[in-house]
Amino acid sequence: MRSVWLEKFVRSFFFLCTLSAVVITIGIMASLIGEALRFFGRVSVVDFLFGVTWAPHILPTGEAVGFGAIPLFTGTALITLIAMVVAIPCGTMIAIYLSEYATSSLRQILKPLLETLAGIPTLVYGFFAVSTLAPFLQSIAELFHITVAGESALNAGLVMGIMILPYMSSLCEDALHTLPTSLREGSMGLGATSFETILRVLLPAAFPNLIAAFLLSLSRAIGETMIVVMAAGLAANLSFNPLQAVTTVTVQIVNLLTGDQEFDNAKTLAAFGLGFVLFILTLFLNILALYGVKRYKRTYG
Amino acid sequence: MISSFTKRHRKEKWFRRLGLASLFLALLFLGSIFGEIIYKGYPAFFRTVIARESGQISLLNPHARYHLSEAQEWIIASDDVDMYYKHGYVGKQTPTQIQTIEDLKKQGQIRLVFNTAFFTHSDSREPELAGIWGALIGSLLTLFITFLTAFPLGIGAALYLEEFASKTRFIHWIEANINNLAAVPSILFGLLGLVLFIHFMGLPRPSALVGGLTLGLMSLPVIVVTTRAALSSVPTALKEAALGLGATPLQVLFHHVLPTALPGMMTGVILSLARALGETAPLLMIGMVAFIGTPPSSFLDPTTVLPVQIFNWSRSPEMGFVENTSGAILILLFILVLLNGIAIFIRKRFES
Repeated sequence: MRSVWLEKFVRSFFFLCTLSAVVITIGIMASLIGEALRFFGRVSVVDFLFGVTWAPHILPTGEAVGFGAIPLFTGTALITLIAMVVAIPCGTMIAIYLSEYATSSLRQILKPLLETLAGIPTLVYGFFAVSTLAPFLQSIAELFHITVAGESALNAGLVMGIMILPYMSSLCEDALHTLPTSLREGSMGLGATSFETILRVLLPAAFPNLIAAFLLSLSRAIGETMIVVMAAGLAANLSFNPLQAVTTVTVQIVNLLTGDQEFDNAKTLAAFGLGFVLFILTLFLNILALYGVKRYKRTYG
Repeated sequence: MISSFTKRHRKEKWFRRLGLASLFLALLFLGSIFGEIIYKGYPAFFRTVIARESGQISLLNPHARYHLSEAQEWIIASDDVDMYYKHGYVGKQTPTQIQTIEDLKKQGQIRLVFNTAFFTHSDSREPELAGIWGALIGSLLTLFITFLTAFPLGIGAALYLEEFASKTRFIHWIEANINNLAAVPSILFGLLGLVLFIHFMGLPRPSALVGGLTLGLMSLPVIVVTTRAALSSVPTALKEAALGLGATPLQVLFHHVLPTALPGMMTGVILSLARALGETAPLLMIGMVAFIGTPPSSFLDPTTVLPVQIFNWSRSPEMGFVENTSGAILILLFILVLLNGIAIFIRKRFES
């Protein structure tokens, strides 16, 4: 009888552990929503989501102005877009090479290497962006008589693309490598070359998983903080010029919360408004990646 | 017919080359990042000292001047001297100072020694005296709290979901929750930590306790996901055999499932702790950005961690700090590569 009692106890202990994960999600949502609601009590949702001027300050009358977050959204979009333009083609090609062409010994070296590289702190990439790539880009641009801002979107975006590359190629490689060998053998047995097999058989078969990999990488790029804090600017320019300085949602969250820390201030509360937008956006992308593409997945073998 | 055949094979060749080229390009990029950091960082492990008998007090570090009475033969030079001697970098030095350094060079009264202060000192306003000791201790204390929070909860949750839970909708919802949580940007965990631990619970702000708890919440879902993967790779036949021989479910779990899944679980835990070790953004949210000149002696003391100190150094304009930043990044990368190496070793060792 004792073992039954013990089993019940262990079981409920493990169940409580499981609930803790749910509590974290609820905690994140509650803290973000709670503080964001207080923020929207001072600044209207419409002004925040559709305003085009970001220069948060509080007038002597107590009115909070300059909380238009559109420049932050466009800045985030621009930097993320540059990162994706670098990472998607390069990451997919690396995954294809590793999964389909590389010898198994090369793959056994490169796969753990990719996973190790994916774990490098983004702070390191950020430091590279400011200390090396920014001056390098500026000196290249000088040759063509173009001015590039030291904190240009191009600089942050390129480094973010390099940062995301190991993560994305590792995910894409998983997507390709888990496809059954019979698909390859069937296609090649009919006389197709490897290239034709990859293009016509493997990529379509792995397509939902590849899209999931892209979406997870996108979500990671949008939420990335240290690279942009170090390499992108604070100036909220509403611009799609990659040579100009732009700012992002995460940069502004850090900026709003590392200065003065009065909690009852529209400026610190704005960080939670931005955090809420970030949470909803990444939640949407994650769910789409983890579950949305599931219905398009086919099973083989 | 033949021309089409050659064409198809030419395409094949080019495609293959394209793949190899992108692999090389990526490795080149990543290699240049590390090359650059190593190139910039290794001089931080050496510092310039001046012979005591030269009597050139103006070239010494201002703090070192007070210690002149101690019987040291070689005394730390100021960072301006250090930068000039190492890289020929001219900043605030006067022409006379530069001349003196050149003279000392000829007399052999200036040289480079291994920078022990970099490893034994805590942060300082002066680059030649600043070190990573305090930040290393801070990182260790913080990671300890992270481990205590995330490890039992994460393993427990994974065991429940993998071994006990029936596949109800509620369980599916929890699973979705955890999978999503593992991909939530780390900065949002910082916002949670700020509200929960600092404003709600009133814990002391830049402490290892708050930092560790925040990183613990961040690591928990990752540990659950990796532990579940390890548990699900335990063959069902093993469990059924044990059950068939009359073992209770708990005996099966503790005697068979856990030992078999342990290497995979450990790999996951090590990797998630490595990730927590390199994390900066959530710690900035909970106010761990202050200058801390002494190593913490308890979990409640003001604490800084290695990545935060790197971030702070990277914002200092002095040349000496640029070097220190790269030097500290090298140490951080060394620890992370070591942890990853251990994780890969465990996985490879027990895989077969």
